[in-house]
Amino acid sequence: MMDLIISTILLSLFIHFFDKFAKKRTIDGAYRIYVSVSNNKDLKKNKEILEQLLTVKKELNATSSQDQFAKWARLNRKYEQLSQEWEKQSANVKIFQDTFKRVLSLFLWILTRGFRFYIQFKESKTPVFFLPAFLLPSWALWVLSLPRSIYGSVSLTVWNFAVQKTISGIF
Amino acid sequence: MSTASEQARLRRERRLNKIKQGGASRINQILGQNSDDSQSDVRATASEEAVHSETATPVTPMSSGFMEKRDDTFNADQVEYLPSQDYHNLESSPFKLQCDSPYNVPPENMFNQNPDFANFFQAMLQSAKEGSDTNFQGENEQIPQATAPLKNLVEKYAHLLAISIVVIVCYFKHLPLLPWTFTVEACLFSIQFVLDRNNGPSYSLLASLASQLPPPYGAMIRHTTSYVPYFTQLITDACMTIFALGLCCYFYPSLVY
Repeated sequence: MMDLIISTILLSLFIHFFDKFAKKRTIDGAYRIYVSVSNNKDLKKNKEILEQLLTVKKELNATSSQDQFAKWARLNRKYEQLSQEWEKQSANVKIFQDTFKRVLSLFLWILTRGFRFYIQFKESKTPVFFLPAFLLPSWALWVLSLPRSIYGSVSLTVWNFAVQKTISGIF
Repeated sequence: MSTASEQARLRRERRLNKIKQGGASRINQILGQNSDDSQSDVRATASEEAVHSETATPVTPMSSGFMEKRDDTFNADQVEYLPSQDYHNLESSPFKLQCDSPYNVPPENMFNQNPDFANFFQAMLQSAKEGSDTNFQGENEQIPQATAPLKNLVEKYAHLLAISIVVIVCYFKHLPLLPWTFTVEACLFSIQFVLDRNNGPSYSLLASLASQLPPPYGAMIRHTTSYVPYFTQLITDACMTIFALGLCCYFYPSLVY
């Protein structure tokens, strides 16, 4: 019963810091991994065009517009064409990227909050800790034991809410 | 009687000469004149003494007490009024102030005669002006940006600290928690309310909506939303109370059973 106190605190801390620091990085990393292993034609084409664009840009920077004007003009024309093509292609890829990130974010939210909700539902009758009778009046003890815990104790639902609020207030 | 008047006249002349010499030396120090100018001042002073002694008029014999008093003040009888003289012309008036003496040089000439002093004075004024402008701008720019977040943090952690202390004291001293908590909360919110009285309206969706509504409804919403932070803080304090109780029960469970 006392282990619920520490485990709930640790779980809430993990969820708080994950959402604050690691969630965005996780989603971006997952998207990059998906793009690298995916067989989607649009994604592959977009990646190829981007690689060509970067190559041409690098070569264009290394070419002098005064000494090698012909080469520079040819590279500049190619760069402009690739830019337009990449922008057109990116419009479709952007929609897919946003959808992918939104779905993954929802999945992570369900995974974190869902796990906590599952534990809360499963242990709803288990009291987290009991309070001394001298501290609070009877009606307050009754409120803290909601929804299904033993009278005189604090339920897991109330305890989870208190821990979440306290952690978000402190950090 | 003539000997007494002569001594009085000589005493007055010595006093005037002393004043003139002091003024001349002070002006020389300010202007940074060299020794040649000092010698010329000495010559000017000597010539003035000679002129003054030549133009002095004899005084009518009177009693010694009255003589002493009259010698210290300006005697209008000594001035000769000529019918043909134009007294409205300040240039030819006998009451004209002396402007040609070195010790009576006006302040405007100080900068012309000494350019270094003028540059130094101008630099001092400029640095003082820049300093005042910097302080003014710094104060205006920094305070509004720094005080609001810091003030909110102080309020937040003050609430958390106060609630924690109350819970710990009540738990170990076997005191009722609710009355003490309400008392501390009332004190904290009173202080917070006084400090937040000068703050502007909070920017929220409801406040934006209130600005679009007619006066009675908009005012009601704005008035209601101004108390939302206090309600939120109250909930946070209640949760902090439960959290502190949980930690106390976990580390000192013997008081429960």
